[in-house]
Amino acid sequence: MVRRALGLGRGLAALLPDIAGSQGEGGAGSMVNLTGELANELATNESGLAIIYRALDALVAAHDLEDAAIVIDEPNLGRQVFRAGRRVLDEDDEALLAAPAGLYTEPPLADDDLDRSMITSVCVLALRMDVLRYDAWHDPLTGLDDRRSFDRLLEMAVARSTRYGWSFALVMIDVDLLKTINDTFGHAAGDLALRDLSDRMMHTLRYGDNAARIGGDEFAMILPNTDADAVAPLLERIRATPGLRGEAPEFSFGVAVCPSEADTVQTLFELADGRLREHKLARKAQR
Amino acid sequence: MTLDDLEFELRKLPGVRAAGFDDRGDVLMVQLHLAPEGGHGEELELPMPVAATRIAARHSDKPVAVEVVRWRQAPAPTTEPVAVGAQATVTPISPAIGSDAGPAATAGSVATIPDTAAAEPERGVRPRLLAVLSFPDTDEVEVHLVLHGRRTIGRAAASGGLVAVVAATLEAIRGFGVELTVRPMWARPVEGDEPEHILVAVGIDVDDDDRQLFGLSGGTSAIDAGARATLDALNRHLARSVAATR
Repeated sequence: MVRRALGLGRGLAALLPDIAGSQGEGGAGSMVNLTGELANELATNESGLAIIYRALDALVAAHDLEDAAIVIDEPNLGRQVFRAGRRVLDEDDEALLAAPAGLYTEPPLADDDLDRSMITSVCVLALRMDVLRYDAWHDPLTGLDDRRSFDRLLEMAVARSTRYGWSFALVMIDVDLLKTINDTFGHAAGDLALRDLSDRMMHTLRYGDNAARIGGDEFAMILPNTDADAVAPLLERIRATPGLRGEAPEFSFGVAVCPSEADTVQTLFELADGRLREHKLARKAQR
Repeated sequence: MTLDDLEFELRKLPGVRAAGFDDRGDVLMVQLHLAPEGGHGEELELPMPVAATRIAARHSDKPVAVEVVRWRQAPAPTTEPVAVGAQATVTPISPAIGSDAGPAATAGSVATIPDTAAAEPERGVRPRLLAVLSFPDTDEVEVHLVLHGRRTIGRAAASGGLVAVVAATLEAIRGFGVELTVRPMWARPVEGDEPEHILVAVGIDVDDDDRQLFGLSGGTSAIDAGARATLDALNRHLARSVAATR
């Protein structure tokens, strides 16, 4: 258990990181290889978390450890604890949540290898890379995909659809009267309306669907294997699902289906956007 | 989407410090540990389990059970082994996820670990409710319990309604090796002032001494409240039975 590696029973002084860069069975040479591989993965791997778990699992394997965990202080996330094998923490490991940042192993390894800082640094950078990537692809207000992410997803969806004939629906959504909400109740109320709608979307959409905020009050959804007729009931479910406030904000929408109605990103987008504007005007006329 | 994406989004929730996963084939179990001091997610507009469950539902193509462990006492390292209360109260939720998925395809729970001293008298005796899952496609309801680090699952036909939830909870308890000579009698929702607060009352018949046990509990769904009410009804009875098996 990691608890012993934490130094429980040995006093707080022993809590200094027991990094796995020791004279273990594999020797210093294998550690050089490990950190080299990790650095290479850092440059090429899509997932920072995958690098962290790979580092921990590799340490366990290289030194025949029972367990390994790393505690990282990341400014945007706060303290984060990762355990080898992506395993859950058990009660004996809870002390890790309050332990100093560093790498812990069971059994503890000697503290005389420079690879300690290398592995820790790689893991910190890997986590930070995930934070930056996430921020780059997501809308900070709603947590949905942002416009850049949506454009990429739509391009891929259209490419797959035209190549393999896989159908999907593009749904454009525009929140009604957002400016009025902002002017009347303040921007906090407007933000709440946007977050409320996005939360209902997240709760309602299927695994594999995508939702994005692509403008101030504009959202878009990519719904694989969805006919135009199925969109209105889905939007009703979005309205009906519990959100952050009592009633869902009113919205207008437009739908276009790929590849039957349009088979390029531009034509599909224009078609859905045109239908959105028609619907919005019709709703405006009713008010 | 990958498990990495899911884990990262869960770790972005305020106060989450650690996440662990246990892929059980039919269900992905997710455990989140919250910071012991502050940052417990109170700033979230949704309760932590709800927020976590919604994220999990977006990232997984199979049912996910989310357990949120919220430590009241910081498990700071000491010169003695850390002792934390094994007993926990649990508030699971079972929201419907997915535009074409059945209700409660994903479930979550929150476990609150009480202070050690307060928990000591009955420490470890009561099972924790981890999740209640409903599978409309197969007409099954599952109750997941954990006791002393061991998990059990009780199943019953979902079409049996709340009584089936009671039966599934009893089966899960028996999975710990506890001999229970009880059977469900009835279970029904209790009307309250606030419609969003669901209360369920259950009645359980004790076979060997002609007694009846009653339990009442709230929950975020009827099946959730039903399982908790069953545990409520069995509290003392269970403490004796579990003690006898140890």
